[in-house]
Amino acid sequence: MTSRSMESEIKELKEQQNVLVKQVKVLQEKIEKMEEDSIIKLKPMIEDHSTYQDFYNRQEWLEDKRKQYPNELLAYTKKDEGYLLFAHSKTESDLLKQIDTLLENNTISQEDIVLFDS
Amino acid sequence: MEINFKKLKESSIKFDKKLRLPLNTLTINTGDLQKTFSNFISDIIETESGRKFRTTLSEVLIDTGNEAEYIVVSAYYLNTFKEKIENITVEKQMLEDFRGNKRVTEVSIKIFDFRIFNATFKSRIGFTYQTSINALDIINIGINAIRQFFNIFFPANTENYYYCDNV
Repeated sequence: MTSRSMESEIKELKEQQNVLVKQVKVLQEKIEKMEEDSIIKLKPMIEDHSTYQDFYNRQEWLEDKRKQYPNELLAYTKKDEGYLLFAHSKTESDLLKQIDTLLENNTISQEDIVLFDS
Repeated sequence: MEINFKKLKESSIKFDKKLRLPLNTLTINTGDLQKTFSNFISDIIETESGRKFRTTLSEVLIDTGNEAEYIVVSAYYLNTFKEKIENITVEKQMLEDFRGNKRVTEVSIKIFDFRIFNATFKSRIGFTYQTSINALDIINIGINAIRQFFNIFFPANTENYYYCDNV
């Protein structure tokens, strides 16, 4: 093989390499875009992720309480960074009576926001 | 932090029979503004002996047992809605659930644009007087209000797995 033909072959290989590099780049961009899209598709579901985390933590906490008191109504409030269960009962009227007593004893105040679940 | 979608799916299974979502996933359009239901404090609720407390909206429930074509919240939020969202006019309607329970509900005349996830749908909002206590902090979306665009799967032989396809 002459040096000229070798040069020509090297040049051709380099060109092929450049084409391949470009193709790889395009494919990488496509993959990145696909990954991005899959995140974007989820992101609009919950724009404020801290809200989601708060929600998830609360649901986990509630799930634990539901297991402790199956088929009961729960009354709780947000306390500091967590939640505080202060009444649970099988009936609505009894739960309200318990809340009544707690308000009377100032265990909870009128300003406390009461949340419910079952 | 990215959403752990797998965890979200697992939580849908774990949270027995209820498809609950964070409060801020639902917004309401009023003119150019898109408002959330954050800090939606109820009117004062009185116990039998007259002691008072308040509650607040804390989550969204896509309610497969509620066939209403509108969104339902407790009537304890009607004043807050008028104050924070829009001074609406309402008409009395009888809301009947799948068990045949009837509830007097004040339903907005106006049809609002709501947005959940990244989809918009049109719905009235109803304020019901007979809410069970454990639904006081929930925005309840009647299934017919969103059936138009949501794919909700009910896999055979399961009661406790609702999976909402993101639109």
